[in-house]
Amino acid sequence: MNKLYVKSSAFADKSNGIEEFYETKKLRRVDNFIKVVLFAAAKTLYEAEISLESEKEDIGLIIATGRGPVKQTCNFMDSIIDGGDVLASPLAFSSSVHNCIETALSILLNFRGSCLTVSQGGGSFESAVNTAKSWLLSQRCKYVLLGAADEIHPVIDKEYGHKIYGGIHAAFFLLTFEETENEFVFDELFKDDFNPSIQAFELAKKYSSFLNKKDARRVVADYIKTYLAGKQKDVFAVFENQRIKDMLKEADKSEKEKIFVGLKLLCSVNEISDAENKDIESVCIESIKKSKQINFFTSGSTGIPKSCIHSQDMIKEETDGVAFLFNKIKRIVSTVPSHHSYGFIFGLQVPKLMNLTVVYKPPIPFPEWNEILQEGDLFVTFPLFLKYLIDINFRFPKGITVLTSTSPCPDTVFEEIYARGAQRVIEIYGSSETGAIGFRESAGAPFFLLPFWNYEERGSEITEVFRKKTPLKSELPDIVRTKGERVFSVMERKDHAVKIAGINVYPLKIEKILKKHTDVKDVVVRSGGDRLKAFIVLRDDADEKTAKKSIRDYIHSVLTAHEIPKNITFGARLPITPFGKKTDW
Amino acid sequence: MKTAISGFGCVCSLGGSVEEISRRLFDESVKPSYLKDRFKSSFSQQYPVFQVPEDILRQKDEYESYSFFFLRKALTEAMDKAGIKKSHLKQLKVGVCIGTSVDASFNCFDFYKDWRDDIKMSLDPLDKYIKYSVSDEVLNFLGVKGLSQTVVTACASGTDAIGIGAQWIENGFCDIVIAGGADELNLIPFTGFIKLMIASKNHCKPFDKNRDGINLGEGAGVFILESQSSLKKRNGKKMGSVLGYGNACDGYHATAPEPEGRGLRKAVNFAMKQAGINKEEISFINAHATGTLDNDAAEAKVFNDLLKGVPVTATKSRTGHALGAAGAIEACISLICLNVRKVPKTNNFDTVDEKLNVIPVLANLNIDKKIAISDSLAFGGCNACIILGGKDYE
Repeated sequence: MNKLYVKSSAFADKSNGIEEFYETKKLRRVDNFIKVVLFAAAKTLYEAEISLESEKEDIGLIIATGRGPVKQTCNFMDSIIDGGDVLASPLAFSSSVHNCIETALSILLNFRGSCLTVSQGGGSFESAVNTAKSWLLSQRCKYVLLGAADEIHPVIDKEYGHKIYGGIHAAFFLLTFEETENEFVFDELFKDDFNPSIQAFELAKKYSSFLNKKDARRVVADYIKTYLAGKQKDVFAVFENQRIKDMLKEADKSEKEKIFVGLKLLCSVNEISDAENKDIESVCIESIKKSKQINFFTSGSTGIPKSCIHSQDMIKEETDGVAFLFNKIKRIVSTVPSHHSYGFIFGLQVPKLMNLTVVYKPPIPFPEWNEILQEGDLFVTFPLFLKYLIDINFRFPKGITVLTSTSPCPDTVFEEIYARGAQRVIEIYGSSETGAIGFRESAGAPFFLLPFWNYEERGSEITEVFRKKTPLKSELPDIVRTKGERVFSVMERKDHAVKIAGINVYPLKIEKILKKHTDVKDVVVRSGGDRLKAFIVLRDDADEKTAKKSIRDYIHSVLTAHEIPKNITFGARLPITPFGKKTDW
Repeated sequence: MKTAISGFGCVCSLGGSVEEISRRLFDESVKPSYLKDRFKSSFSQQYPVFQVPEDILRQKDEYESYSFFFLRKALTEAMDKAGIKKSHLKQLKVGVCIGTSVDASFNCFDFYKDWRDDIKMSLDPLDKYIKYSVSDEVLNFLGVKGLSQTVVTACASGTDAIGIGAQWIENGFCDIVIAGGADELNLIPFTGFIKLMIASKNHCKPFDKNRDGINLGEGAGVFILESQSSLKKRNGKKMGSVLGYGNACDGYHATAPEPEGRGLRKAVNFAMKQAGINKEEISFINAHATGTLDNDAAEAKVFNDLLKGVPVTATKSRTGHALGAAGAIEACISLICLNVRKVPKTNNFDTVDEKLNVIPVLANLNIDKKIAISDSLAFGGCNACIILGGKDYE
């Protein structure tokens, strides 16, 4: 017997996000139940790269619904009870017909082939799978879009609500005999007569992509945008550009080569070359989906990229483990790119888990921010941008939660944000290697360890953190001391040794020494290959020529031969990404 | 496809068995009647319906729905005709595929009204609804386990259920499938069709220029579909065959068919291709022919384009529109016609509609070909078509 395979799958229990596929006005007469179902179906087709608009001659549609549109049935009965049968609502009647989900989908998604609705209580989905297989065997169609959808019956909800899964659940599977990496295996678990579609809903979680195509594209595009924004003056133009192909066209040869190196790491791709230019986007997206992991690599203090691979399970563990922080959030506004672990979790995964709409905005401090932020928003951002907002005298509308990470949030910024009307400020402590580790909500306060972590300590210092469910464990990049059970304070950055001609030297120690020079405002020291290199910002009042000579003399007087940076670059400000992260130069 | 029909049973306004229906099918006097006390409706004396005769209704058990009662009765007859006892089924791969509309819906109007009014009452109707599916109930009645499917493609349910069941046999999923449809007159669709202004206050007039809507009906039709090997093994006799099944949606409108019959055209083409036949081999079409303006027009377009010259009969003029059971009842009637080699006249047809260019069979017609087509169109643009061979079709 032929095996069934899943080409794509998706699920939904809310319709938030359907506007990605349909204009609001097109759905103004569609009730919420149908919208949720349509959203799940559209996502499934989109994942399989099937246009929603195309006429679907060879894709069968089977809907399994244990109850059908029961609220409409009740609406129709209500209209009879309230006004008598003479005044009964014809619209409620036509919307109460059991196959109305199939009807709506066939109209809105342009199905033209075999269509069916099955209603078999808790066994609806299992029953429908048999007919999907039968249709494929008899070559009625090449694919079957099999969906399960139910809303909770108002009477059942009132009488048995305390012991059932509530709400609307919709799940879809694009089934085929063409071999894919996902063989369809029916799962008896979660069979439920009260909410028949919960079984398919749970199964779809297993088969749906780790990252849907749209989100994978965002990760790739955000990486390229961030890279280009750091190199080009016209940051607005970089962020407005939405097409990956166009962005790559803007980059020169050496920029492109560097972007390719980054994309290979980020997306776990073996090879990307300019010759493949037009396919780069799909190569990257497919690789992310197939590998089910993202590499949130960092350029690191040594200048050599360091892999920070997070698997699907690690990402899920983190997302599930931070969601409790955002119970009353209605929407997310993110300024953080999604190739960064912080932006990925809080700007992509948390909204997906919590069915929240996300608005992405580049971190540019224009005054319209007042109109962008709304009551109930979670504003995902970072300290440098918060400083910009303070500089333009920005005031937060009421009911805004500010989330900050990527670098330590200075106490002054923390306090200023509260003073400027933020309802809640949450700072996330973590790193690209670990993801989020802890959080705090006031300046100077210790951090609370997030619930998905455990840790090892020596004395009062946390030496290692490790996840509870996945095999992620890591040393911390800082010296961190416990302040009670699962509470900690971050003391200072750890100074990791770099080998120069066989001798260990410590860049942070050297930075501290250089900062003692009266003309040095700021400094970064990194490995520059076989020797160290330094980037120095002079004090505003320093005489450039005199200061440079004085600093070079100072370096030779206080540092050992191995510690002396071979290359020294002077500049007006330290090299940072548009998101406030120190970067290489 | 060549799935054997080893037995069949039927209940409708014409009677409670194939024999009774066969006798009355060619009787011109059949007319709809008005509801008495099945349910309370302000419209019951205005809109006639085709009810199952009173003496049959009285046989219903207290705890079963009318739909299930009709189905149980038709199933019992079909099994008797097939010579199959419940005990035989235990050794076979059994499937049940039933189409319905009312029997899958929450149509407990009185319960709902009391519940809404906070009247204290038993939740039994609700509990039954939560656990119930008509096809599972058939398996319980037979005391066997097997594939089970309740098809709810509105008025195409019965035709789809037979087609799906036949495909299960063809694909080796089952040795025997009990396939058909069942539905009952009920306040909800009765009121709904009236409010949509597609119910007629007169005897319905399929394909007539002055047609003004449907008369609702009720009943059940059941086929025992059987694989050739199972039939041979137990020395069963074939009463007919399912030769093809097509199904396609319009993707057009919630209640109106696509005016060119887009989905139906595709369903008919697929069924004919699967059966490997051409229109010259078809003795008649048992049309869906509800008597509504839009349905008959869309159907006529397809008949003129694909099946020109094939006689058309509209048996809803004798049984009413039994919704989810309609396709199954019409399949049973088509098989009766093939086996008695006669097609009934379409009742109540007076005036030709030039726009339709379809004149249904106007007098009972003797036939000699062995194949018939039965099609169904439904709310939501669901279209289904089955092709049947009579007992002599090889």
